[in-house]
Amino acid sequence: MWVGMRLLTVILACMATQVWAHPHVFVDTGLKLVVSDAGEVTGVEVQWRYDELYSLLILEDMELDPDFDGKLTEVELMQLNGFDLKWVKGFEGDLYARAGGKALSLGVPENRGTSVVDGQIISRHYRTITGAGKEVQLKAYDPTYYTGYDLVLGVGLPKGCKLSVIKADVKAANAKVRAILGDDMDRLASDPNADWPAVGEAYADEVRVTCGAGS
Amino acid sequence: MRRWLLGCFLLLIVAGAVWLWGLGGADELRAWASDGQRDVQNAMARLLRALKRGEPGAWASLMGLCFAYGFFHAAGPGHGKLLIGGYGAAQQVPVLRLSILAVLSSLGQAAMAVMLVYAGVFLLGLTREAMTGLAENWMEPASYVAIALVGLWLALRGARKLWRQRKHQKHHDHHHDDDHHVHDDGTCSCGHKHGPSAEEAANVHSLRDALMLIGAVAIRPCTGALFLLILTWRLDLDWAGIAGAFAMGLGTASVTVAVAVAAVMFRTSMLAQVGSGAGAARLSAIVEVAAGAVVMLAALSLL
Repeated sequence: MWVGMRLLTVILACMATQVWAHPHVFVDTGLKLVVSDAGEVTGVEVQWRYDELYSLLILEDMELDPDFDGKLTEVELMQLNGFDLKWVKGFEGDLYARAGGKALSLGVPENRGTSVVDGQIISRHYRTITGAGKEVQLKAYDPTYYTGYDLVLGVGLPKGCKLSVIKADVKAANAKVRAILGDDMDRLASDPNADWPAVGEAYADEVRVTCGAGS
Repeated sequence: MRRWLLGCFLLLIVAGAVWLWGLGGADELRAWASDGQRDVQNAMARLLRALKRGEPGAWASLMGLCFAYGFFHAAGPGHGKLLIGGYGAAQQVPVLRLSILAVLSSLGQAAMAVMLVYAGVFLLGLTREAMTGLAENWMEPASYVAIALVGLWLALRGARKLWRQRKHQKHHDHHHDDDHHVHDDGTCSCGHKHGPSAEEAANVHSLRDALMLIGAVAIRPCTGALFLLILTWRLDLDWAGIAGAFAMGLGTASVTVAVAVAAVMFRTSMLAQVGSGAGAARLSAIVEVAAGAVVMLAALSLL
């Protein structure tokens, strides 16, 4: 008799202990590094694949894909091209680079084209990296974690470069959110004037690239 | 009577199992629990496109998704206190009263979401055409939805302040000590409350109290419902959005109702075994094994 009740209680208790921090826009991300002959990292091509709901919002907003089949005509694609590259001041492109313990500056985005596959918008842009030398650490994240960037599209490297990816410690990130928000979760979620803590970085994987090592 | 009730409960469990594994419900469940938000958003986008294309079954699927969204959102983290409180205290709380309150407050919440979005549309004089172009200035993804939501939240915040003032007024007038803890309990990160707790239900003695409780839940609609409503409004699918919001509401209510009913049923079946009715006892045992198995398998499928 009691087994069923206990089981139910345990399961309900387990369901209650997870932390619920999630982004509202999901972007599958890919990075492709460009390296000079001397083995110095000079730039990165960024690929963003938006989730279907956000893609639908954009397409609907721009009055594209009126037949809702998730495919665009050539003309429509030209209209869409570059839609996400009109960055306002303060928007850093949600990509952050460091080398030798210092933050590096990334160049303005150069459009590398936009496509739509199965209702998902995929865009590419290129940014120069200055001061990287032969190694660079990259993180793709939105500081506010409104958008979640997931490096599922991979990191492309030229020959002679080595890659290691340091996975984000999601448990630690959740703990951080809990520590910052505490019981204020309610207030933060409902008060637009409250600052959402900049927890995005805590959820981001770190990409470490070293080129020309040992040469 | 008891046997009939238990039979009904068994039927419900079987229906739940069929949905979980026969109709792909387990996939939906897993999707929701693991990468939930993303997958729900993708599924919603696909269904909205299907609806615009006039595909048969798209409407029903969208309603199903909305119901599941509401259900799992309410069953998810942040509602533990509410659920366990309801479960543990069920002995003191009439199940029917709690269920009715749960359903009414969830429906009220859905109605509030609909009212907010369409009041915003009406008051701001926003036409579908006027909204286009807002996203051209790229700030961050979802810029215009965010803008619209901020507008809604502002309206919501004002309404909440009014509500709190009224509450304080009431406290001063009557010198009550029993705060209902409306803002501290049973809320999730989306900043809203999905249903009354058992404790609150037990304290409801008058129509006025009931309306207060329902209002307190209803005044804070779910972000998911607002999101859907704004999108369907933009897509010229207003009725799908409104129906979807109510489906979400029913989904959230069903969690509270299910827990309340389960608690009472388990109690009833226990009594039956202590008593003499061998048939009822056997049936109740079957019910429990079945319920336990379904819950366990559902939990395992989340791993």
